[in-house]
Amino acid sequence: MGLSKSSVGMGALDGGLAVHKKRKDDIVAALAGNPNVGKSTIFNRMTGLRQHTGNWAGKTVANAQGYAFYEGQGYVLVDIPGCYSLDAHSAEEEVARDFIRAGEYDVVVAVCDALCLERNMRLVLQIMQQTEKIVVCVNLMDEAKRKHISIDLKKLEKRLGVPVIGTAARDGTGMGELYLAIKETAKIKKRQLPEHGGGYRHGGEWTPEEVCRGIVEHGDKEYAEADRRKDKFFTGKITGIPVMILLLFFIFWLTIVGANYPSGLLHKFFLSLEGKIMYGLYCLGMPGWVREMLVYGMFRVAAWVISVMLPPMAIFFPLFTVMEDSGYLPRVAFNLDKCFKKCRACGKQALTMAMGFGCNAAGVVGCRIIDSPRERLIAIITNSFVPCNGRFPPPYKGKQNCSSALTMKKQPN
Amino acid sequence: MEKANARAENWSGENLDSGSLTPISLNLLKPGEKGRIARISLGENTKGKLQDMGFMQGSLVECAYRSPFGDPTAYFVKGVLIAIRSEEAGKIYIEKEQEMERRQWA
Repeated sequence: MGLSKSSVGMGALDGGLAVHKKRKDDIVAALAGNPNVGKSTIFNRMTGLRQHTGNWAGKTVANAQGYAFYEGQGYVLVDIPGCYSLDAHSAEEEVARDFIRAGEYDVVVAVCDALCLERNMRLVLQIMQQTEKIVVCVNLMDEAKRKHISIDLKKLEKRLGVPVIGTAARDGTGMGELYLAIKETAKIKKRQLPEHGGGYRHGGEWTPEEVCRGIVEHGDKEYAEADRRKDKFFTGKITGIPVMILLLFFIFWLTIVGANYPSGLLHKFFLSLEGKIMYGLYCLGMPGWVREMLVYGMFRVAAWVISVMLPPMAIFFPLFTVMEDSGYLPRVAFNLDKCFKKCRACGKQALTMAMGFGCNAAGVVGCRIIDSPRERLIAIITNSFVPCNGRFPPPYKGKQNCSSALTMKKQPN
Repeated sequence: MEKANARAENWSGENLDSGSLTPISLNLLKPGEKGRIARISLGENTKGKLQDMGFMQGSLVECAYRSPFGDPTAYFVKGVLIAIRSEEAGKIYIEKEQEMERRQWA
């Protein structure tokens, strides 16, 4: 989710989106699926763009589009916000539903999570009622393999009567097949869906449970056990809160104290340049007031901002990404929900507030993951109280080069 | 208090099929216990959302664990962990599975 005008600007959520084709024979493919199945990762993999991805539901909130070119065929890809079904219950789901209903695409790629295929199948079946031009993409196959879950894709393909492709978008497995399947599906005028008994009845009442029966095979239960033990540790009664406090404390300590050293180095480096630039400009024969304005005005301010703000960001954002990708943040939300509830807010606010430490604007946009309008409003209003990277308090009083942009003004020239 | 109310509602309950098992509300389930959803008496919107996430009538639910402060509880439904606050869980009625054999979940 980029902070672009199209994603946060006026009317970002009401207009849907206009698909821009580069060539007439480009195929428009919409990526639909449940939240947190890796649609954005597939999108990035195919288009080479960098939509923000994260391991929690509701990351993508507005449609994004990108262009891909594979074996002589252009593809316009549309990344739709995740939704669990087409009966919209929230603004993002409405965006997704409207886009699928409007039918301004050639193919829908229904992205599924291999770890919980059955839940994803509900949306797949609903999309199949809307359109026949569908490719089912079972993502996270690598993750499933790691957890010893095997999925009979051939059987599923036969049962549904539409192409089923297994992918692992993180390392790019299966992307070529996905392109081909999209191309093939776009050509089809009308698909012959298997008749009753053989597979899915178009518009019929097959339940997700029936479709998935006999397709998903759970291997060793030990892997699930290990996951559960981890969860127990991170959300346990005794360990949950101390571990969370220590972890968050460590991250902030690293960001604030750790950033001080590169901050100081950068500052020294820029300061040493000052004299040289001054001398260079003197040799060019500039009058004193121009030199001072350029060097003491523009150069020094820019240097200060960079040396103060760049190091904490360079440390905090990667750490935050690790927390995001590991799925720890939703656990924090789970741990703290009761405290937030006491404040009439929602536990998911822990997530948006953590984002706020990086950037308040991103945090406010992230508040869309909160369902209740009142709780969402609280999260939006209070987000600005979270000090973002540029507003971190200085770690030591009076010490120069501390990582705070606010103290900048007080520094003597 | 809420729990008591939930029980009272159950006793007066209308058309509760299955003679032997009385539906109890989901928040009475202890970690490790399982049940099948009998009905969800929540508003249309919340109910729809829950159904989308796998809380359908007849779905098998397993109580996984509670949060450190005891309120939202995580449940396994169709291989997915979902946390629900006790207010909502109190309005979901389940039939407790008697046999405690461990079913598979991912």
